[in-house]
Amino acid sequence: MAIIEGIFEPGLVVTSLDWVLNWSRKRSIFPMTFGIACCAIEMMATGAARFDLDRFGAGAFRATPRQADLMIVAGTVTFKMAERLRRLWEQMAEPRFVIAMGACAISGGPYHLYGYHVVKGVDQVVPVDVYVPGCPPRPEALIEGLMRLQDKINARTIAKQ
Amino acid sequence: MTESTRFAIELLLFAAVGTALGLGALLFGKLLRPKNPGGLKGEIYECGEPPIGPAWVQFDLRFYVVALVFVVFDVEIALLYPWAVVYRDCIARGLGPAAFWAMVFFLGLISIGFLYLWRFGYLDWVRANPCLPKNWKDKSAVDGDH
Amino acid sequence: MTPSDIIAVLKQYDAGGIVSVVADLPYPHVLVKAEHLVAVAAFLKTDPQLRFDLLRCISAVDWPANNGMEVSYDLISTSFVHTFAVKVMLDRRDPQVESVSGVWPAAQWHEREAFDLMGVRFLRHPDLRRILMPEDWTGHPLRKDYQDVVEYRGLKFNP
Repeated sequence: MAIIEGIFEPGLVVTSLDWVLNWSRKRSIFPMTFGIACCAIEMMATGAARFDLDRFGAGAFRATPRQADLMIVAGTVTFKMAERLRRLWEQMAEPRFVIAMGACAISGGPYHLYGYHVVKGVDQVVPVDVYVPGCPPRPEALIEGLMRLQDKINARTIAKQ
Repeated sequence: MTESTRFAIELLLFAAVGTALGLGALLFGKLLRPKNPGGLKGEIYECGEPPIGPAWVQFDLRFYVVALVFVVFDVEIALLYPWAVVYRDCIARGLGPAAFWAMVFFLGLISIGFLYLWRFGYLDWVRANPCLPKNWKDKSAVDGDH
Repeated sequence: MTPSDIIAVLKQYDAGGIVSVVADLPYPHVLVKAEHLVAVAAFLKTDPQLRFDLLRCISAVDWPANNGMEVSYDLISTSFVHTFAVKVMLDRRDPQVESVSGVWPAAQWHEREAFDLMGVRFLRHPDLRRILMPEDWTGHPLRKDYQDVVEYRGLKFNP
């Protein structure tokens, strides 16, 4: 991946570099707006004043995948939408992460049995890092999901494994 | 060392550190960022749809006119600064009116060009003649009773 | 105008095309033969007493027991503010009817939806293709005998 990755054994310099990199990455996650259905309202509420996402550095929602780190899939994914979702995920630059927000994105939600048009879980389309359950999840739940994602970012390392 | 040598060294050092910081940040990024080109990543972004046509389209010419006018007046401002710096000295030496009228002549010359553009409509953004759809008159005849 | 009056005016125009009438609330409507649909529609829109210029909705109903597919057109007049509906009953094995998008342009998308989800073909429709399901979907999902697909383009239907 990166030029310097996977070359050095874990040591003082590498772990300090890790710390700096992970600290800066987790404190400035740019989400991509992928509000498809009702969960989008809760995502907007999380970005708004009361449950401010900007205090985590993640308040700058980018509409284009080129500038985004995180794709919050908020809503029901239909077969028609799945193609576009996959293409947009592919157009994001690494390091990229996906949060599956809401029951529909996790497993099809209320459409699991009889939804003829619903993809039963967005993890069939893109690899998901964090699942946030709820229908819709409260903004505090989405923030918890974001904090878990920050923990996941914190565990990354550029040292040789 | 003389004052001017010292000044030159200071200037060079300033430029060198500035350049080093900038290049250093870029180098740091180049070493540390992941690089995975290929696949669908390089495709033209069209909101998730397969892209139609290339992304290199011809820009509207009105942007060119605006940029050109901007460059001319930006250079004019850049030339105003040194003039403003020496103006007080000029007054002290008795060259005040000469300096003043020289600058007025310069500004006036450029303003005439600007006035020409303005009055001949080259700065109008919204066109005077709208582009109507082809069957505009026919459509209003069909839905006449609505 | 009350539904009975509307039916009376319609009967004066085309008594032969009407199969049955229902004048009671909640859904006063008239069932016409499929061949007479476009003429009746144009009459309903242009007649100065009726003036049904707004097509609210086109619905298709699947009656597998009668081997029929019913398509109903909900109309409202913006000038007189009366509502009415027109229905046609089609053969379920090959449901075809003439498109009314020449009369009400709003019908274009409603008919695309009826085609997409129920399989009703609208003849002389300017652009009859799927509108809700993906373009390469097979089957018409809202029919009573629709079977779910197993997978679509590599995505499993029920993981």
